[in-house]
Amino acid sequence: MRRVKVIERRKEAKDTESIYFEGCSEALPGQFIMVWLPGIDEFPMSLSRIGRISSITALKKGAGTEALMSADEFSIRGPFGNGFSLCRGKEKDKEKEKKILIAGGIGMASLLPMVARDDTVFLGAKSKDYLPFVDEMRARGADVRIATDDGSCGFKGSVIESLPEHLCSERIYACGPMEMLRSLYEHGIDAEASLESYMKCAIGICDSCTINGFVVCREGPVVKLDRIFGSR
Amino acid sequence: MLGVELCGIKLDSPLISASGILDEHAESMIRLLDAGASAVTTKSIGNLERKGNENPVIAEVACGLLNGMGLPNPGIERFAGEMEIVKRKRANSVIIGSVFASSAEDFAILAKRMESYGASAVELNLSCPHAKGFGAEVGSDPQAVFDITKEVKKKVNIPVFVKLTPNVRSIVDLAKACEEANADGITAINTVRGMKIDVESFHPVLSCRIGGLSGPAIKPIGIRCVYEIVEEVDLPVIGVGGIVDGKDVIEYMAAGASAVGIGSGVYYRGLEIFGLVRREMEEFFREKKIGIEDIKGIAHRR
Ligand SMILES: Cc1cc2nc3c(=O)[nH]c(=O)nc-3n(C[C@H](O)[C@H](O)[C@H](O)COP(=O)(O)OP(=O)(O)OC[C@H]3O[C@@H](n4cnc5c(N)ncnc54)[C@H](O)[C@@H]3O)c2cc1C
Ligand SMILES: Cc1cc2nc3c(=O)[nH]c(=O)nc-3n(C[C@H](O)[C@H](O)[C@H](O)COP(=O)(O)O)c2cc1C
Ligand code: FES
Repeated sequence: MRRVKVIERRKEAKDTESIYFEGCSEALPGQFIMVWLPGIDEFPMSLSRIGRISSITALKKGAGTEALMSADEFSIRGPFGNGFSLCRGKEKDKEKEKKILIAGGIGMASLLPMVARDDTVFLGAKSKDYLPFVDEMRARGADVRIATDDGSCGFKGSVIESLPEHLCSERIYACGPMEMLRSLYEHGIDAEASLESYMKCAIGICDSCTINGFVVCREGPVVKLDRIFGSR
Repeated sequence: MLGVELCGIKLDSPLISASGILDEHAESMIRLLDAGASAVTTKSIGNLERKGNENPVIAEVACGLLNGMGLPNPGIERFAGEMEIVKRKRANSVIIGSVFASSAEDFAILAKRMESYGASAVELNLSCPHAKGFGAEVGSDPQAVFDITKEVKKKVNIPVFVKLTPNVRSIVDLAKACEEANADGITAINTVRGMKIDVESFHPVLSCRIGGLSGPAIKPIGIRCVYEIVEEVDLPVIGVGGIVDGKDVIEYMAAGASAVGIGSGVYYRGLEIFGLVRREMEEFFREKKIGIEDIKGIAHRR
């Protein structure tokens, strides 16, 4: 556990803020940290940018995320879990190839570290106010396609409905609510996805986060959807 | 080569998974069995569903873990489903049903349910250090330990293990109470009361403030407790506390343990720990040219 100072904040969308701090430079895209605000709560956050200065990006939900947005300091454990496979060892050379990234709302945070030139990003949110990182991803040269539930920006409907008939890429990465990931899987897309689950210990012993015998905090949060939704 | 017998239950190794570790969901218990645990102890299950304590519930400390989970569990009713799945998918698996309650009557009701779910034995958690009104709060008094054990023994036919707390003046007094109440065995130890304060914010780290220490830091305490119990009491003991490798198991068995529980070790070495420890023990026995039956309680004779 270590204490970090907030170096900078950036508003990314409505109720959504990035918090920059020093550390986690060795982390992999897809990994998360446990953020502790003493006296309030401890909860998981994906790393949205990784470097000498890293960031997390929070969507305001309850007391924890709200306190995070006004904190000058907080404590962290981690990084935990496995990152996306393209960033691991021998797969690293694939990093330059085109990727397809599919995110629901704040789920984009865990995918952001790997967004690069020529990638296609499908980003869904409830309305145009809740679309984080769009300018930054376009500035990196990614093709960002937007879907909103109310049609206030881009396609009207869910991000899954907005996907083209055939997605041809070996490298499809996703992050979002479980229902979104399930519907992605049911569309025949066995993406590598970062899962959300209730984290307590974050070190693979308490069984709080486990889905179908898959220990999300330690063996995930990134996993092929087939491991979760496939009939085994 | 590593087979042991515990109250008539045949185990293919002495390596049991300890209560509270990846054992709330059926599929997780199956992972433990497939990883080589010879038996799985379930999470301690109570009458009603409990969410457990608020985060943080875990803190890493030198040579150990501090936890204050607060007995989260789905309640005995819903746990039936998890037991059913494990028994169906791994027919011959040995499951030790751990239960907690605040009265002897409730302990007996829960134990009976575990028996009806197909548990091979029950373990009475009289030792959780961080749940108000339960665990060590009822299990520190030899008379209460006697009453609870006696009541449970009246109601169930499967072996009854009593899990004891080291946070008392004399764990032997508790063990004697178990023996007098006709317990079938003892599990020792549960976590050692401990605390961590964050000196940046001066907040206690665990939301419940005081929690339980586990891992290598407590192994000498576990060894001492098992040794003391075996000196005085004629019951099989499951030794728990700080086991991470094969030699740790050997040490517990030399102190007199009949089998062992592995908990925090799953953090230190992953689920593979069961396979790894098994191999380390086999190696040890091969090198020393002795067998597992030669070492039980051997330190008492030196
Ligand atoms: C691996 C992982 C990565 C995540 N990354 C991000 C991220 O980058 N940005 C972001 O905004 N959110 C992220 N989340 C979700 C985030 O943890 C919750 O939004 C946050 O905990 C809410 O806390 P709160 O106190 O503000 O709200 P609360 O009112 O306490 O909770 C609101 C909801 O948040 C969820 N939640 C609360 N505590 C936890 C917990 N310990 N574990 C999991 N979910 C919890 C529950 O669904 C709960 O109903 C991530 C979750 C996981 C599992
Ligand atoms: C996260 C965690 C949860 C635990 N939950 C329980 C429990 O529900 N019931 C119980 O009897 N013991 C529980 N324990 C105690 C362990 O079963 C074991 O007695 C203790 O951790 C010492 O063994 P170890 O050093 O191998 O972890 C828990 C321990 C940990 C670390
Ligand atoms: S959060 Fe405890 S096992 Fe994953």
